[in-house]
Amino acid sequence: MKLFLFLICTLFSLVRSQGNTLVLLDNQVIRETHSIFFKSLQERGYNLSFKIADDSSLVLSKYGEYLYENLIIFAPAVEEFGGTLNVDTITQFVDDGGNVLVAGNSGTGDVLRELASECGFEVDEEGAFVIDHLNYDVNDEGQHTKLVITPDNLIDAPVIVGSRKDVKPLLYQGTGILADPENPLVLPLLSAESTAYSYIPEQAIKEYPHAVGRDTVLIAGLQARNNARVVFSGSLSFFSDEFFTAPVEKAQGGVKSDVSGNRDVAFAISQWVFKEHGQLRVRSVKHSRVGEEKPPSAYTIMEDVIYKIEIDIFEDGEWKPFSADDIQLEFVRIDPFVRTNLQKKGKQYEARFKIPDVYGVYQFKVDYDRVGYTRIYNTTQVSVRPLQHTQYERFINCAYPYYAGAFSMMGGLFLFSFVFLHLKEDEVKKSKGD
Amino acid sequence: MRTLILSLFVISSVFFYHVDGQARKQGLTLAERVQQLTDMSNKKAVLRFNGNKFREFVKAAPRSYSVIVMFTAMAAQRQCVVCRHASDEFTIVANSFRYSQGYSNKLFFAVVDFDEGSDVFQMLRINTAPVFMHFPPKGKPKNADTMDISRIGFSAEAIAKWIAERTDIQIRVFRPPNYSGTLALVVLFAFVAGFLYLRRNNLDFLYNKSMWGMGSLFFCFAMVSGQMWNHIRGPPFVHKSQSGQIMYVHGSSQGQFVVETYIVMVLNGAVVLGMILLTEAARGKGDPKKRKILAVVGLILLSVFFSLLLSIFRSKTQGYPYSFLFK
Amino acid sequence: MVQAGSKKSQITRINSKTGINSLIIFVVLLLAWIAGFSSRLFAVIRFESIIHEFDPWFNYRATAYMVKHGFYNFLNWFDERAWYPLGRIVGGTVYPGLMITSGSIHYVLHLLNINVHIRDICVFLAPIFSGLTAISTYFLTKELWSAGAGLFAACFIAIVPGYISRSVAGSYDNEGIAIFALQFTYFLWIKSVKTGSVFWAVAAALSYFYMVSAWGGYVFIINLIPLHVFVLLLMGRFSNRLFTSYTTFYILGLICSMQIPFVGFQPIRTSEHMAASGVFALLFAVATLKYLQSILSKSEFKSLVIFGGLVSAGIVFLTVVGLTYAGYVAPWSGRFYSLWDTGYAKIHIPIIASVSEHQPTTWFSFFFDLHILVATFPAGLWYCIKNVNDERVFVILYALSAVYFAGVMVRLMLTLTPVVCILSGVAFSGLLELFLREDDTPRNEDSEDEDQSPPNSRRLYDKAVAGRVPKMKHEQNKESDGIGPNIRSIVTVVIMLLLMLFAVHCTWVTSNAYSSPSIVLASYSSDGSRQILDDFREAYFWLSQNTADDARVMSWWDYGYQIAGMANRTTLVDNNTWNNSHIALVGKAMSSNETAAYEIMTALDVDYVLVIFGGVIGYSGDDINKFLWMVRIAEGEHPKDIRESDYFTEHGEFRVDAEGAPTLLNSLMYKLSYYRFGELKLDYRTPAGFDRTRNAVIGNKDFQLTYLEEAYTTEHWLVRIYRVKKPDEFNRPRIPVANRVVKSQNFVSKKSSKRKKGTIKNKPVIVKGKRLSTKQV
Repeated sequence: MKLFLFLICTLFSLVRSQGNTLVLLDNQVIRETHSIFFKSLQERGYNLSFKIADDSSLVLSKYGEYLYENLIIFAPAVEEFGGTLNVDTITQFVDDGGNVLVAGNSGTGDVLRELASECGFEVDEEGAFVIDHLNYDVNDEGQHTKLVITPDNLIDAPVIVGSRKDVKPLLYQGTGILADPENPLVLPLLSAESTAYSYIPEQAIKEYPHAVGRDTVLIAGLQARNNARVVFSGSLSFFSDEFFTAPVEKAQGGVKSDVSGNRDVAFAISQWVFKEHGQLRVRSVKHSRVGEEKPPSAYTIMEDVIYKIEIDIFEDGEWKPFSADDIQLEFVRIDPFVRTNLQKKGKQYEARFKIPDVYGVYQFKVDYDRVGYTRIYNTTQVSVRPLQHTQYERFINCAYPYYAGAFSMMGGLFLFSFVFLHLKEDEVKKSKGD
Repeated sequence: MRTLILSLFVISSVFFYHVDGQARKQGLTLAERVQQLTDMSNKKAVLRFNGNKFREFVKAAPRSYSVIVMFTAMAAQRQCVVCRHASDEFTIVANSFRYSQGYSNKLFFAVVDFDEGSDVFQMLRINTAPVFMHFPPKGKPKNADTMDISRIGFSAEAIAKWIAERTDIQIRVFRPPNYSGTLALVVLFAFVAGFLYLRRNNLDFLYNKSMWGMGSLFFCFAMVSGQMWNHIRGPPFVHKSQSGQIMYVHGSSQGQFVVETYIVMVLNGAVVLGMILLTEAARGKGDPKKRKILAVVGLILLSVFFSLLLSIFRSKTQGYPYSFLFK
Repeated sequence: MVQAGSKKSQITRINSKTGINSLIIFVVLLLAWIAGFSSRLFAVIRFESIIHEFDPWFNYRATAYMVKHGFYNFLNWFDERAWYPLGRIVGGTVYPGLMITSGSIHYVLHLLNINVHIRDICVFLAPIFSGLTAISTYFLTKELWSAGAGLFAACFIAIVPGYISRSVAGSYDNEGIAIFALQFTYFLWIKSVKTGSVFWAVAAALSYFYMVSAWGGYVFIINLIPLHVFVLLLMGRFSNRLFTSYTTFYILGLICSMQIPFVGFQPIRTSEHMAASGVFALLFAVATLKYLQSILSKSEFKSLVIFGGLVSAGIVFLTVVGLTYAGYVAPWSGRFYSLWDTGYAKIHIPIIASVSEHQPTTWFSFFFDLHILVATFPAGLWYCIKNVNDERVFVILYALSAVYFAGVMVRLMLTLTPVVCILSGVAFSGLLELFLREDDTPRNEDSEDEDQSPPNSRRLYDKAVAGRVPKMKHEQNKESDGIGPNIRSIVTVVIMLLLMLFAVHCTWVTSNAYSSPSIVLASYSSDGSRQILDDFREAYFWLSQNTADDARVMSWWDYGYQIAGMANRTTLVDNNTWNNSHIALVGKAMSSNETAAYEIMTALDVDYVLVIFGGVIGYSGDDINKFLWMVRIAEGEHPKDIRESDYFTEHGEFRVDAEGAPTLLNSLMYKLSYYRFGELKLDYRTPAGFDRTRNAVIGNKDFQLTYLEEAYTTEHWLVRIYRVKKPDEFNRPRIPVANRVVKSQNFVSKKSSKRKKGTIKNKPVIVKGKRLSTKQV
């Protein structure tokens, strides 16, 4: 329920500041080197306000109102933000539903590391690159840090990165990210090949690298429990025009393509992180007895109940009915008593079932949690009461002997009283006898 | 019971001699030890250990089984009454494990008597009996491996529960049913019935009201003086404080001692006697003099003993203002 | 006003002497009523007119519901705010007599346009009914012995603490009216046994019906009356009067009692009620025997009756046992069983054993509740046995059984009190009417048949002054000055002193022990000034004002009714402990550590947790002192997770200070009780975090709560309320600095209040005419 309200208010805020986005840069150059990415955003209707990360006039919120919807930090080298911005304000921004896209590189500053580990993943130490001696691009400087990543290393979630099949190979150059294994919310959007590791190229390898093989996450995403989304890329250049347009050819041969897939993936990721994709909401919940419209004050046991729920998805700027076939409804009293699949009937999903023969306080519970989509968790509490004293059946067959006994007794008493009253002297003697 | 134990002792001693024999030959391997233990416990649920066998089976390093050992002093001259009860309960547990489905060679019950294995007592620094100890398969027994008799007692259920805590082996305690109570009841009924049958011609003694009256009055006194509380809570008879003087009356209003309840019973009885004497005196049979004396005696009984009762009550209550005759 | 009507009718009917006489009776009873009523008002005068401790709050809530929604809705009331999420069918699990009584009073008063709030009716119901109890006790004793004894008994029961303890103003509980129903039923039963008229038997059955609807203690009646009949049969005192009255009473009583939803089919299904039906059958057997005897020879009459009775009783008993084994008859319920096997509850049912009023009774509390009566009622018993007749057999059995039950359970002192009053009344009146004999005039009426005399008040005077047994009187006339006046006067004075002592004792006990509404506590400071600790109501009011309407509050079951009644919030468990496993779940949550508890609490959708903590003011009835019971009850259901032994030190003691068991120091209940208590310094003599109830410095001082946050703590810390955090408050699980793989050197801020500029590594320096000198990576 709470979450439903939350979605509503995010909706309102969407309306209020239509995609205001703050972009923090190391320097104005990045604005040029990443122009394609920014342009695409602007075309999709975000008004970006570019700031240098150490600008002393940086503010996220004014008078408790957030000025921005989203935050893009393309300032790997920043050691400390200017103005009122710091890790706490940014995490607060996330906790209040703001979306953040961060791109670092091998020289990622501490403030970004802090931010990363606040969100449940870590950036490898300063100067470290993801190195892969097998899958690197032909025009690599020789440190094997300009990697070619085949699309099967993308997370299998079309909502986030688009379908993996028609994505061309990707170019990546930057540091590695370690995801917290305990954290269920972190999504490895793009992970390295099994032959990759993350280390400082200049140095000889002394201790075991922090990230090795597929554990090295290249782009990590987080969907917080309040559905705020954070994406942390280990490589700033992943979003750069250079990589968008560069041809890809693996040095060992094999994979070859005249243009990299970075562009598509970057756009998809930006769409996801700014909640253009995979944003669900519950429009309405109805439940009632079968054949009725209004929900009763309390259900009675063994009644047939019908439950309807409308779920919307946000697609190109408007809410449309969401269609899936794996949404389940549970009827829970501590344990689920009924678990059934919701059928799509027109615009809404519905389920009919018979309330179990157990009274108590139940909850209709819809818990829909899929990778990339906002989590739908909707509970409606209803109380199920036992039969009233008028609702039991009146004449039971097995009771007829007792009815017969009772009435015959009455008749017998009636007759006996006649006899008794007409034998007067007997009665007198009897009373004396007592 | 004693004869039983004696016979058991004989039996077990017989075969621990020959076990001893081979034990002395060489240190046995684990399998052999388990085998022997199983054989022994098949013969008899509670194994009887002396020093060597204790070291042989309980102290020996590789063990796949845990042993529950009761250290006790059953010999008559030790006069350890508790030990006898304890060993009965212990035997009950052992038997109910022996004949349960969950019977396995993971758990064995043993007893070490002080007069046979005093060295074991010294080794473990045990100077009281009975003591229940659990020797786990691995490592040395910890603090909790010694059962805290003072807190949870040594009833069979308590022992089983403790074993279940230490080794995750649940034992359903099966008590050999105790028919003595029902038997006594049956005998009593038979006696009464027979008596009635013999005296069927003149049942007038049943109409002796004084007898019934006495009986019911006594019952009332017993109940009113909290004998039921004693029966359930089992308080001490009297309380000896550290300084040595004896307390007859429990200080707080929550508790009571046995002797205290007896005193109260007597006082109540005296008061009632006083009432009855007074009434009888006034009702008037016999010569006036006797009745005067009766009346005075009754009055004294009534007032004095009631005020005694009141003062005892007062001593147990904080800030109770009233008293009669004496404080 | 019963006796008002009777009085008027008498004065018009018969001579003034009897009129004065009944006037005396009327005045005495009225005074008894007034005295009993006013001595129950301490709580109202000291505090205010509120409902007292725990169960009354539920009764009050139910009554208010019934008054608001009507009887049938009350009957079908499914309370979803109790026992969340199980809910409770209130109509089917409650004895409705109390609610109906006060509800109908409320209805009548409002018909008369007297606007009384239902709360006031509930508060003053028990004191008013105490007067009715006194009157019915008078009638009962009059039937058993004499009017004088009756007046004594009425005065005794009006003020005796054993009865006041359950019927002070504000303790709105079943017992308050049940004792009246008890006495009245017994009176009618005795009446019907005496007269053998169907009318009185029917009246007894109806009164029994009222009793059944009012209190679970009706089982006492339905076992005692058959016992009476049985013993009468054994004594060969069978009579058609007995036959008529018992058969009528039993059948009607059975049918009526089965109309109460909560009782339902128990009267024919459970062992508690089997004795009655057995005696019913036995009675018929004896009647047939009699009939056969009248046909056959008269030889061996009595013995045959006795043996026949015994045999048939045995047969009935065996059939009952057989049915029980077959499963048609439920065996004894736990509470009832614990009356016979006295150690039963202690071992098997911790939930019963945990209730303080289910403990056995010390002689102290006997004396405390009954004072001189406890020492004198055996005398009355003695005389009842000495000159026994049908109805005195009843009072003898009543006394013996009641004294046994009172010995087993403290709360059953309540059933003992009336019979003690009756018998002491007998004893005292027997004594005094002999010792106040000087000034009596020789009388001419004979009272041979007083045992059978109808209760009209023509004979009252004779019985009040003349003794019980006719032969006494002649002797008294003969030698009335046998003892001599001065001894008489001394005895009289002493008796009067004792009775006065009794009166002051009753008042003292009532005012000191039984008149605190345990909702509001009063503490006396050193200078004697009284200060009120109103923390409970403070906390409940906070709940009702600051939490969502459907907020679910978890607390130990003692406080369930109060939370529902005062805060009107959903509770998980409450004082009718019908579902042991649910209580065990709450106990498990309280006694396990915070993480495990959080799982249970989220499974139960708990929003708030309420604990009672007396460590600041030294209130001994708080949750830490009850904690072991929570552990035991939880262990009963979850022996794998909770072990009582973990909460003791290895010396087997339960202590909250540094030596305490670690499991205890980390349990949820401990943390919730002592959260932030470590900083609190009560006074300069004691160190910080000193618990006044346990007299110890707590062992686990500065800890933080992860899954809960303190929501409210009352003025004296008596009630502490915590909010359970929701899962989405742990929004993005951060990696704490401790277990980060990549250690980063911590950066020192260059920012200051005026210099708001941040810092960027190798900031590009822009030189005119040159390209940027930083290469982008």
